[in-house]
Amino acid sequence: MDLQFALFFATLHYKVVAMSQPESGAADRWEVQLRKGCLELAILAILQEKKLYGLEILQRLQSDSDLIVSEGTIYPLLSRLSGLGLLRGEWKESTVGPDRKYYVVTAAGMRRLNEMTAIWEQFSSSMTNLLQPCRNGRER
Amino acid sequence: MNEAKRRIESYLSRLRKQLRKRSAGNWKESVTELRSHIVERATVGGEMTEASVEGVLQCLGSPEELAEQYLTDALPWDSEANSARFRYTRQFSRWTRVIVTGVPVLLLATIGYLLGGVFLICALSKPFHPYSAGLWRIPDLHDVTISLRLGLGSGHPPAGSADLLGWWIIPIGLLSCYVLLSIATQLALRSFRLFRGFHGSAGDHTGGLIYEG
Repeated sequence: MDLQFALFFATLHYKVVAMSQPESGAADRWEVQLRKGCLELAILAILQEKKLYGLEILQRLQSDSDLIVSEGTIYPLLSRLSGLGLLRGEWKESTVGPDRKYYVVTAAGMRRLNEMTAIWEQFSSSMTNLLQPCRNGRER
Repeated sequence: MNEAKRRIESYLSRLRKQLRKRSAGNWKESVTELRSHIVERATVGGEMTEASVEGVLQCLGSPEELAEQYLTDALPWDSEANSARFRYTRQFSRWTRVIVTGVPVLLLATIGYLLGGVFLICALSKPFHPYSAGLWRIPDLHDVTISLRLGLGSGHPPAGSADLLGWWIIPIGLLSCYVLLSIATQLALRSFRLFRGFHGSAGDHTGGLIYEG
């Protein structure tokens, strides 16, 4: 019984101490989440121009933005967007390698993109205003 | 099969196992798509080496981590589908409950009201038709029939019939009527509550669940 109590208090102490410690890498995690959150919008925006397959989307994201967290992030997200009916996948033969799955934005995807763009513009404008004092402070 | 291809298949096999185990969406297509990605990415100058495959697989992360991402990303629409499935199942089970419980209860209530009404009429008509209303034992050719007669134009019972309760049919009839009507009312109310509960919640299309749209 005593051992159980000791273990219980040791666990409790560990949890309290862990909670009171400042989170190391919290900013990194926030950045990762931020990037991941924007990926859906970025993918829809890229695909509205032309149909692309996974690797092309990845390369486009890498060249035009710094949103990619890891290569493995893109395919689960594409799968999710297809599941939501925002994208449609089309398999096509390739002359230089294996078959490729091209993605096309559906009508629902276009509506979602427009909604997200409006939200993004409003959000980014209000955040820019909110962060103005920080920017001024840094410049000084 | 060369070593590079064997390495790819081994990776995909682990991924397939993870995705299949957790029933993650269209896992077959996901695996095919990833194979295509790995092969194209690892092919340099028309050749795929073990080192190039290893580099691509490292970029993708372990199959377990990747499967986790598929599951995490699939969660909102999977839960949407699940909640829709759950909603329909719940709706179906409610319908079943209403039919299985409500209909027999309503039927019993109706029978109760009818019997109660018969006892009431019988008790009330006894003073006016003392020789035809009441609970009679009527001898038949081969059998004996017990009949609750209301005395309303049915005439006198056949010869040899016996009035089992006599004037007692009035208090017993009234008491039976009261008991039967009370039970029938309780049953009818219960049936009504059951239906109202079903009807009230049938409009709740979210089924109490909040999910991402």
